[in-house]
Amino acid sequence: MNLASLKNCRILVVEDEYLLADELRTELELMEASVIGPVGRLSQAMTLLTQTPDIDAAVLDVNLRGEMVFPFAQSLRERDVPILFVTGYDVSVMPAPFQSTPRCEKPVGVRLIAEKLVEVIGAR
Amino acid sequence: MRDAQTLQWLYLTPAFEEIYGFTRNEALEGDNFDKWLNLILEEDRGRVLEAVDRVRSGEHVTFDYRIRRPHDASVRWLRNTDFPITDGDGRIKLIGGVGHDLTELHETELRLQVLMEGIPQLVWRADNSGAWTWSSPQWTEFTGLTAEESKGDGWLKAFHPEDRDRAREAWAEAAETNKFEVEARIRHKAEQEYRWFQTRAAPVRNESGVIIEWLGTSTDIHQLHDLQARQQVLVAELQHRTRNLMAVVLSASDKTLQSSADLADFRLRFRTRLEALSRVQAVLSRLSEPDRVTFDQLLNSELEALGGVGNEIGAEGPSGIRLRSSTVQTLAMAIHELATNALKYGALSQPSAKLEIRWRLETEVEDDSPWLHIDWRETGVTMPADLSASIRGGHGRELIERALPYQLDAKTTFAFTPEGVHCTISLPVSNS
Repeated sequence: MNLASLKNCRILVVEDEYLLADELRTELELMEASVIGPVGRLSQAMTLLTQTPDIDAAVLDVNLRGEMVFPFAQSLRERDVPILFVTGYDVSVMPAPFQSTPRCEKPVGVRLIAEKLVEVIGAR
Repeated sequence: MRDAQTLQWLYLTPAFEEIYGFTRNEALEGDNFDKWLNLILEEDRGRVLEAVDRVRSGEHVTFDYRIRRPHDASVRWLRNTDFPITDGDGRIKLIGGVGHDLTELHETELRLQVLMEGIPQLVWRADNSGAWTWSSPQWTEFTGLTAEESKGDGWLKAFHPEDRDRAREAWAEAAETNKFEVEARIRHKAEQEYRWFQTRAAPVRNESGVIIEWLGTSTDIHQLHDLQARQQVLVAELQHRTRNLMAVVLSASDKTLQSSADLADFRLRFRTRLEALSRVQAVLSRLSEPDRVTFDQLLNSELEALGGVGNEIGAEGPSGIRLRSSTVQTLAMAIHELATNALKYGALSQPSAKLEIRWRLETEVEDDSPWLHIDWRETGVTMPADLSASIRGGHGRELIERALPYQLDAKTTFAFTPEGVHCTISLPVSNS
């Protein structure tokens, strides 16, 4: 897996836990990806989406301070942005339209997230 | 055997004595038809006379009736099958009859009926195709459908439209599996709502093993259903929290490692952070659902963990300020970092220094929401000339300056004054 392929990719990060969001941002930037966000709230994510014309992929936490991220994921899907969920939830909790969307189960290392990101961007 | 004209008994079998409780000789004396009619309970007498008339006119008739035995006044259920006996010219001369004592059968049936109509379940009977032939009063009371309306596939009307196909399919399967089982919603007439029922039936077979009908019950499992749904939500929530917590621990260990001088340093810092995390998990898990952790609870638990430094601390503010559950963990970690830094380098490490923690609740003018303002001020601290990088840009500072605003919408300041650390944290708290 060539992680250099994340170079210059615009990755939107939505994660409400600061430590995880910051770690993801730091590591992705080390891989020379361009990080959009991170943001930790659904409303912020929506705003960011309307302001950002080009997004190559989105990393989404599922539960954002008690709000489920799925309406936002739907908006991304309508814009054809590949999604990678990073969540503590079991697949059974995912609603039907997102059951087969790629996901990493927490806790997960940034390296694995990066590898999956390369996959979802490549699959577009 | 009796005479078809006079209706007098001419002959009785020995079994008569056991059923009626007196001898055949006594029974045959006098106008024995009249005597017999008097043994029959009044409400059954008309039916018996009618049956006897039909036999006299040539029919075979089976009829049930009750008698009261003269010697002990006990009531017996009897079943007669009577038939006409003709002479060579085809005239009915005699009436033959076979009698059975059905009393025990009747009692069993009665008990069964009491059971079927008394248990807190909806009971019904159906033929092999799932067409109902009978339903209990409970069913009618619950659904508002009469037994007549429920016959055939009438019962389906009480089932939730989305569940009807499933019920039909269950009947199709029942033929193969020899059991009928379906979970479906049934409409409660009085409450005008659907409730979840477990509906089951078992086949009733005759002596040769052929299914003659099905006996079914519908049991209200609505509460159980609700509980299961709630439990699923809880399990998912627990999974979400635990895995997030593990992710936070992993990330914290990386961060601690980056700022540790050596392994011993790492061990101490990492340990105290984990302990603080554990304390806050313990506080959170002790809550019953509508409760909230209060700020003074959280502060006390962190200060107590420092052990024996209470005298140098002036803590002042209203008790009972309820924190939003989602903010508790991060706020606790911030307080923990402030407290351990004070213990290591700040107000709690120097006898002449002081730590003042003050807090107050204010209502935000803009949106009328309650905010907690915390002021953490250390005074009289002799600040080291070379504040090491780990304090200036340490984990605690990052938490306060960046994590709290990111995660809790908090407004924070953090400064090293000549007197010591001064930190302010303002964050929205629970409305209730």
